[in-house]
Amino acid sequence: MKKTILVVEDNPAVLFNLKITLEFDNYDVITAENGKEGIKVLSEMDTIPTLIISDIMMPEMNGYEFFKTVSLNPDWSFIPFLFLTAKATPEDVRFGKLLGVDDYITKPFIAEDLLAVIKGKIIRYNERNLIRKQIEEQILSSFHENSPHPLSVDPNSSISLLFFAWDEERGPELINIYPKDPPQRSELMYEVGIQLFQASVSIFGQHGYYGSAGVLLNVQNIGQDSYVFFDAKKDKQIRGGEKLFMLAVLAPNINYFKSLKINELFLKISSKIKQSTEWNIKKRWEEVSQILNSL
Amino acid sequence: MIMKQNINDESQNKIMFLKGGEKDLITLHKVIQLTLCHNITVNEFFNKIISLISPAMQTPSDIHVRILYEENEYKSEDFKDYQWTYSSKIVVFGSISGILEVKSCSNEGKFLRREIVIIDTITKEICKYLEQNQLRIRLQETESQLCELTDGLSNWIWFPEQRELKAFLRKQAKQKTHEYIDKEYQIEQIIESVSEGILVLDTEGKIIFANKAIKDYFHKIMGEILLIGTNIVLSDRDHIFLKPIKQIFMGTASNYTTIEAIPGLYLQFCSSSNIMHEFGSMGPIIEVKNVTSFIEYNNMRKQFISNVSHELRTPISVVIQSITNLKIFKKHLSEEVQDQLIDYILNNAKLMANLIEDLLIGSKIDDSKMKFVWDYYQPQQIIQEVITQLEPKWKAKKIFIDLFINERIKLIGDVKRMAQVFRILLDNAIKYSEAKKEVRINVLNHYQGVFNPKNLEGILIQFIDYGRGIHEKDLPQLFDRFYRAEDVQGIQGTGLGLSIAKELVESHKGAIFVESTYRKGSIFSVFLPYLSDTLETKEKKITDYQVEVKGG
Repeated sequence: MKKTILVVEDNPAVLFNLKITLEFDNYDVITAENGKEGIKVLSEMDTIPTLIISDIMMPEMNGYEFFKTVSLNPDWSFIPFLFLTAKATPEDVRFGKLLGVDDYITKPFIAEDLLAVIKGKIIRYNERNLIRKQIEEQILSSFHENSPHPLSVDPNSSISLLFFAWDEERGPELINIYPKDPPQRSELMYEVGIQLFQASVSIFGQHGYYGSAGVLLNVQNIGQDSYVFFDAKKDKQIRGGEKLFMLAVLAPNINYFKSLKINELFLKISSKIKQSTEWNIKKRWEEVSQILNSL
Repeated sequence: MIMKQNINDESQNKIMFLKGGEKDLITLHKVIQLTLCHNITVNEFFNKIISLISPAMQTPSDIHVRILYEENEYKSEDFKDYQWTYSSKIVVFGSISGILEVKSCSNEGKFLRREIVIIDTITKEICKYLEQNQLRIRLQETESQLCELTDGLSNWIWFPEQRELKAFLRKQAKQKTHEYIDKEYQIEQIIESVSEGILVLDTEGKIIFANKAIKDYFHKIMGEILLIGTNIVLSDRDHIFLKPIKQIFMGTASNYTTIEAIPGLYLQFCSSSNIMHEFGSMGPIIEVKNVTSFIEYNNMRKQFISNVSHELRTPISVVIQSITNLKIFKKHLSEEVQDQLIDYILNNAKLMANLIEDLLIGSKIDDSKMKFVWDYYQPQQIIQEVITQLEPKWKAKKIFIDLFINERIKLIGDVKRMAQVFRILLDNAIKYSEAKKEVRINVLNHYQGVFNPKNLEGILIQFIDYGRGIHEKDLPQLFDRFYRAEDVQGIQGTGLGLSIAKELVESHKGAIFVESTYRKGSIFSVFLPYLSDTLETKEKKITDYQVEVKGG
């Protein structure tokens, strides 16, 4: 099946050429002339596109707003998103990347480069998507026996921050959890955390990559979204020389845009863990809550 | 009864005022007498001055006085730092050497006007005294040196005219000393008034010398008066202005350090090597230069280069894309598509040519090297061409262009330049218009009205858009080169267009005007007079502007 790419660009000449380049590379191309129209096209499509390419400076709705709207929508937020723009100062590029787009390409560009980036993004996206689905399925099956899960009917459902590490003999080991109260809830969180870790390790392992990777999961049967992040700390005493650890946020609703911000935060915590520096779980939990509670 | 009361009050006030005046006169008299005494030390002088000030004030018991002079501090008894302060600078030979502070704890509020005048007058007298004192001391030193010399001489030889010689030498010495002091004073004055700041420290970091510029910076940036003799290097104060001075003193500064001392004021610090002084070692001499205009220009230049490169990126991108597609897929592309791609290449190459033309004109206007080719032209025809040229732009925004013109008009001018003016104005109208709105071009022949104050025979061309409009505060600078309003930083542009349009219109003896309502739209009006077409004026006009441009 042909893959579909949505191109949002206000300059007709650039758009016309992009269409030719992409179509000859065997993609279906759908176009829009600005962000507003892009949103309209997206909402009218039967199946979502495989990738979005967008200009930044456009009338009516610019690329920044368009990206934000796309990433706040759970149906669209997983679509790889590229900026293709004439805004090329280092500050512009930094700003664009900070927003969390998958890549930032400046005009003028070479067609081969653009095509290579698109191909790479799609492969990675498919892989991620597969992993995500597999983990979600495995967790789903592990909670089947006692459904409905008590967390899914928990009226005080809130945000939890979990820190696990892999022990060679014992398997997943809880290092820290916040909040610890009420104990009943943290007990459940512990259980979910163990399942997350086990499922993720087995599936990530199959695909052969650990280390600084995050994935946003929807754990349907417990009514929670989770952002799970893996990394490894150097440890000579362990076989393989690395100790795998997991940071996870469980919350009723995490969208893609917010998961990007949580990822930034987790990278910071991770570098502290790797250097064996202390970090305050309560303070970090507050930062996570701030991200999730912001608009 | 009430009247009488009022009159009484008034006379009472007058008596008070006169009494106040009397008090001032007495104080001033005492101060002047003091300045005429030559047999007291500076310490005694300052202490006496301090004792004279408080009685001259309205409420002497609430007054405290302090004088900071060079490294010394003189205070009235039980000096306290009260709420109200009035301070007056002590300036000796043009340089601030100290400060006189009067503090009051009176509940009645700030100082009276009369009190301020008397404090300032006393300070002036102090300055005069100190200047004279310095001159006197130097004179005495030289004289006594000379006396020693002549006395020593007379011990060896005796001759009848010795007495006359002595007197003569003394007179000469006096004169030479005065000349020397004058010269020294002159040099000091020159250094003092140099616009660059000059600061000299000793080896311990104390200030030996600071000229007016440095003191002004210090006052402006730190809000304090810089006193000779203080040590700003060893103090643990951490201020952006002190940091480079400290670094230079410690030898850790790079050759030139530039700081933004306060918003919009950039200072560059550099130091000379330490010089050995006859009487001990002097520390570094620090020069402080105001480089604000350079930095501002540089920022503008950087912004401009980034704008220009940005303007070029999209058309170059289109050219590369189109050529790549033609090259790789030519066999598979229909003729129509191929033609379309070639058109894109041509249009975008033209767009870049226009941009380069704008840039070149900018620099030609600078060097007044503009060459005009005067000929007849029809504005309606040129405007039509410009509309076609910009078609991709207005089509992309779904803008309708309405051209209102009802007769054939013939003008004299440079066709290429006028096309440039119209292109700039139409391009702006499209760029800043809202999508799906109309842009209107009105051409009025034989126009008489506000845009034609001299009632010349000519035409008015108006470009009307219904777009974002222009803030009132941006209007005065709108035609300045590189100027771009803050709220359009996200929209492409070099900040050159309108300045070029204005220059070109004016070189056609015309004028350009803008009216705008923020968030509603703008109207740019160009008035072009009919220029007479006699050969004479034509030639004259050419020589007005024609200076051969070298190169292509």
